[in-house]
Amino acid sequence: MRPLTSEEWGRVRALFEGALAVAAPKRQSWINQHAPDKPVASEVYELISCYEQWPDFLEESANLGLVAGDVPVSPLVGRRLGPWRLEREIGRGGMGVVWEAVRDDQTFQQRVAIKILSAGLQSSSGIARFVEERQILANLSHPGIARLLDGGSMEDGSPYLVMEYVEGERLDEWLAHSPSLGERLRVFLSICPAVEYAHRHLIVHGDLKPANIMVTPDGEAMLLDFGVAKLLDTGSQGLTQTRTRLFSPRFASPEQVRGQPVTTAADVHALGVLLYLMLTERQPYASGSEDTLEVMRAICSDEPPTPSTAPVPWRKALRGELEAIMLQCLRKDPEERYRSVHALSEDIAAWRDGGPVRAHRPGWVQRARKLVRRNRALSGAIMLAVLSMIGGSGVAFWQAHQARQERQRAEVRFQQVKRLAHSVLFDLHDAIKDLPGSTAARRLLVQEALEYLRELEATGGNNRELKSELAAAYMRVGDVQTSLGRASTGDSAAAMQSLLNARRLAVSAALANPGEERQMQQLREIDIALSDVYRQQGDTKTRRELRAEVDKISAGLAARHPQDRKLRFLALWDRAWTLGEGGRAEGGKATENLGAWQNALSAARDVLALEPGEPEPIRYLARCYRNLGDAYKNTGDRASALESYRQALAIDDKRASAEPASAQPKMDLYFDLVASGWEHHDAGHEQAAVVEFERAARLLRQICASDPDDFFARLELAKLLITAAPSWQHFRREAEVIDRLREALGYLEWARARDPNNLDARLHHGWALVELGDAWARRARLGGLQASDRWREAAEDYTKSLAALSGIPAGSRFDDGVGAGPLIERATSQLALCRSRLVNGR
Amino acid sequence: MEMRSPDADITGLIRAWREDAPGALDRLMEATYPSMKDIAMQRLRNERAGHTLQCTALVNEACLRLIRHPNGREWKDRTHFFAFAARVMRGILVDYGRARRTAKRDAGQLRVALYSRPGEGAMDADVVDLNDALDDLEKLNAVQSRVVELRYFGGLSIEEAAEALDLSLSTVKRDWLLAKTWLRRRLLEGRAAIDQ
Repeated sequence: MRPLTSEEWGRVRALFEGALAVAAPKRQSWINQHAPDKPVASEVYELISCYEQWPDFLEESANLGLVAGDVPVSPLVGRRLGPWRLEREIGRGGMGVVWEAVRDDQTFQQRVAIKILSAGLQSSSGIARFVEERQILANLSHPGIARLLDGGSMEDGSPYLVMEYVEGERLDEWLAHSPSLGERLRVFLSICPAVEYAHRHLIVHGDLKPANIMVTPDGEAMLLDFGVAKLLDTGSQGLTQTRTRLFSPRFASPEQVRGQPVTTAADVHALGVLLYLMLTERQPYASGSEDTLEVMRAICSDEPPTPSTAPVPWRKALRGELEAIMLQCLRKDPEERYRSVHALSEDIAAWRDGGPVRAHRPGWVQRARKLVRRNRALSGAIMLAVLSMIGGSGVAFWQAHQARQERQRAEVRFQQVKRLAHSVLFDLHDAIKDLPGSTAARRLLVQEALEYLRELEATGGNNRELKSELAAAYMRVGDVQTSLGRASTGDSAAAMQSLLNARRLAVSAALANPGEERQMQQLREIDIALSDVYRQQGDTKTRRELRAEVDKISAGLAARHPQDRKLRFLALWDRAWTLGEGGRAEGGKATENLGAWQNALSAARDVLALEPGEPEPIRYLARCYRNLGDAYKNTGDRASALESYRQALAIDDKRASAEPASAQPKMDLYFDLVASGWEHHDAGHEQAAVVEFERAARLLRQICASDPDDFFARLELAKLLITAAPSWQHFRREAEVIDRLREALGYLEWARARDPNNLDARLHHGWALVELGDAWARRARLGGLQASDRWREAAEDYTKSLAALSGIPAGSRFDDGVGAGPLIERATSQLALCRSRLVNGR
Repeated sequence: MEMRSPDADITGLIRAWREDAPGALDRLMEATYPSMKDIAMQRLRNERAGHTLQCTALVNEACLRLIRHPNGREWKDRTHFFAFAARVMRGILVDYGRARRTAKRDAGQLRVALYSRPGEGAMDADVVDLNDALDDLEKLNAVQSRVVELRYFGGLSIEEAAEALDLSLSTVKRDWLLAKTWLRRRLLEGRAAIDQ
């Protein structure tokens, strides 16, 4: 029969359910009547009869198992052995297959494990060993050993054992849940008494391994499978030869590998391997190798790696006594191991309870530990070492020159600060700043740096060069503490302090030598950085004063060097910025502002023509386009605004893909996308706006993911999620608006915890809560059973928003003139509405 | 409170994928595949013949490891993550099953239980055969194949599958019934061919 086409399959689909509903006798005619084409009709009929036979098919989710060979279904499922019915295979060992079975009597229900000697091993020696095992087990009765309940032979002569069914997990499975060190030791200590008990009955387990040990839900170990256990012959000095090497090589002792006489010391060794594995999560011998011969060679000749070098959280606890205990179990010579399992478990218990441990440590353990200590190369430690090196050599230098003259002393200080500023703040900082998650390390550097700076400033006297260097260092510190467009630690108060220090020093250096260009440029940069901090704090007045100073400095510089294209550009850029601020606030200077940005743009092109391909001028060009877009927007020219944004986007897109590891081009691209998205939103093109916003959010999420400490990116992402909510609301369901606001809240709560002084974060925290309240209120207005829950949810969010907004000074203005006042009003009136609804609803 | 940004990122990627953003699936795979493979391989490596392992446990573990929401309310994201993880796990398991097939014979196959009822017997299939059957079903009707993937590999309920696929409950129910019946017959046919 040819396979159905998907059109035919579509008809099958349409008929299947209907046909299923028709009573069986009438079904054939119903199908024929509804499906004129034969292939479809017969397919429906066939599928229905298949369904009726197997309604539960595939109803349990995927259960995976490894099966040797390709036997699809075991012929033994459902098979009876005496009163037991086999249910499922639960394991395979060297000796046979283990089944889970239940007693099938009417009288009582009992679950057991049945071990059947596998067909391939039914030689006479195999059978003899199996019968022997039955005898051994029948004599053992201990709570830590699975009990033998019954035994017999199958029709084909295969013997089987019925054993107590042990609930729980195999030890290796249990270990996969990452239990604590204490839990591991507890389980290990519960293995020992069972082995000890067997030893007292002259039985060596000989095959102790995680797969033979179950951990019950109470956390007690149970031993299974005395597969190669052997009876000790008391008559021959407690020693007998092993007859067959049926051990698992990983857990074998050297004497087992060599086929030498096996004693209880072999179990001590196996317990040592087990303990090593449980505590270090790796094998003591030939870890990682799958080659049996290699494992056996390593057991006989290699020393296990020092346990405390294992990558486990408790490795420090292993150092010393626990390590000595493990290694004493693992001695090659059985005589050097613990004399009994009891002695071993006593030592572990003693360690746990803080008592004296008897295991002795050979000297090489200490030697190895020293070696490890030398190699523990943590980045933080290296950094501290570098810092102390710098600091230390500086101090030595200082002392050597202390007796010399003032000029020389100043020289020393200058050297110190130069070293500091360049090595710590610049070289070291730059070396780590692009590493993901380096913010914490950078904070450490800044802390160290600040200490040096304070000390140097206090003893530095009136040296102009020193002041300028210090100003640069402070600015750098402030830049790390908070900076726009780069990962920052969000410590706004500290940043402001550093920048104010920088400014104080720069002003005083500039006053000492009024004509110095370099110092004026430095002051300009400090002022720009500081004005950004004031902007974040909502202090518009101070910000404007700073911007006016920036404007004056750069205009002065450009006037003195009329041929310098860069200085000319910077002056036009600063001018346009300052105008833009005023233009936004007053509204009347839109045209003037547009002209200023057009001038800045053409100057940026001139600079770029001078240095084609240089990254900094290219970045400025894109920023000019974005600002030009804003300026067009203010004049009402939407088409030109969009076109300018598009230019900025194209440049930053290229920059971002050229430097995929760097965050700054991504951040610039983000700002372009947001600007363009807003333009689309304002023009009523919500679809286009949403596309830009989504991409912007994705970029920020990438930046956030690559640096868990990036304060600025998280704050920006939250702002985007809040302010773009109306556009999303336009298309998506309310539920998604709520999801996004919650995501924003997550970032903002984090940001506020990180930097409680940051008013911008606080404002947006309040804002997000107001928006969330609004979203719930909109849903509540739809009515329905959950309306009152939703009003309550809304009221809660408004209340929280009022709390968040309460600490913001009344006059503060943030981006685009937003302040806390209107939000507080909105939350207050909405809260009153919620309350009245809740009262009426009752 | 420490924010866990990788989680936020994965949540974001899931949303992007759900909204069919271009390239979203690739990015989501990139961000999650290594951990999912880790989880699966860690479990599979510890497997030995005769022992069984729940695919949904793998998916659950992946979910726990990759998504931890600050407020724990995002059940919808969780469902979508499961939907995604079901697909990835299917791929990982099939790759593993294929590798075992090409390895020496006594390496054993990776088989999946299809049906079991005490006293009545059980049926299982090589995971690679099941995968091939699902691929064939996909050619007939992609949604049906996807429903099986979600229900069987991801452990999603009918309701959750409906949400993940943005389809009505009755559609998903109908497609589920038909898909599993078709698979049953298909796998039975395959077996008959081998037996002969």
